[in-house]
Amino acid sequence: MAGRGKLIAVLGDEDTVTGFLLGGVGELDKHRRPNFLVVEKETSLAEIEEAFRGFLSREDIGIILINQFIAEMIRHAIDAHNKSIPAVLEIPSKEHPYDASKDSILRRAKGMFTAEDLR
Amino acid sequence: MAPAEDRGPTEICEELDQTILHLFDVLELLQTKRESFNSLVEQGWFSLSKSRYAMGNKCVSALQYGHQMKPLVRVDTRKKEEGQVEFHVVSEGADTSKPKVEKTATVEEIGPSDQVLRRRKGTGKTDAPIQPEEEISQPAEKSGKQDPLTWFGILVPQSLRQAQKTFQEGIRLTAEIASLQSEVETTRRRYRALLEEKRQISAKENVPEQL
Repeated sequence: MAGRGKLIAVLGDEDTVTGFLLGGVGELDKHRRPNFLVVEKETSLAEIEEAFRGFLSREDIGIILINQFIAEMIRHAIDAHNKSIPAVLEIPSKEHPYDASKDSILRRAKGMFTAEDLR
Repeated sequence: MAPAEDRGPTEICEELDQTILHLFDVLELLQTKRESFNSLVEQGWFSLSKSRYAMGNKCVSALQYGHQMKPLVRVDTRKKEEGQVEFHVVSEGADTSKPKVEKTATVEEIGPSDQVLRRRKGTGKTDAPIQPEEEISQPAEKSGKQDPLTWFGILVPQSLRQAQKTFQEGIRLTAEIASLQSEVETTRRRYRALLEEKRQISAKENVPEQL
């Protein structure tokens, strides 16, 4: 499976997931396990976190796309992930534009420079 | 990379400067890619909304997703030095080698069940269930690779096709963004390591001065 390339997982609102599935990223494997989760108003935080951790543990997933407002809900889980694969990409959603100051990767890069280091 | 003893503070400081400059270049590129990705996604949503207007509100929703999905795009990962990973989008479709292997696997699985059916041959209905199984498996493989556009109908509006194209372009950019993010992380780690090295060297140099 690794030789054939990895999947792109999507965790987001209906429009984001629909768009990326139209693009051809969707997969239902033989156990009918999806590589996406449509987050609706009634989706609980536990479900989101479980889906995210499930994607992280899957070896066939290379990139996880997650709406930034959902990433904010499970920020602790995203900050704890420090492996290169799968890469976690925070993307905007219809109601919430992308804010670079909230992005985990950019916040880490910003944290490189402390006053002590620049002496 | 030269061993720590060979390098003086000047060399390390120069390398630190180079690393920071490289990081800024990568961050700038990342921001540019992010902006184009965000505008593509916005265009995609707009096209999806136009399709909803044309087809009806419930015709473009999660309820329409196919029952079988096979990815049409995958990402190829290549590990570079210092743990950096490069992502490349690979379109599926030309790859037909794997389904053949899966076919042979299903034939092997049928073997024992065939034996079980042979024991019941007295009923005279053994051939009937085997044939539909083969018939079902072939269309399933074909339909698994179907264009996601067909979930929403056969004659879909142009705006939905436009949305698909836009999101496909977006997917290509995600691989580039993921590669850049990995580069930012690697550069950050290299910077921290160099800074630590610099601290150790300056600590060694400061000790004799104090004595």
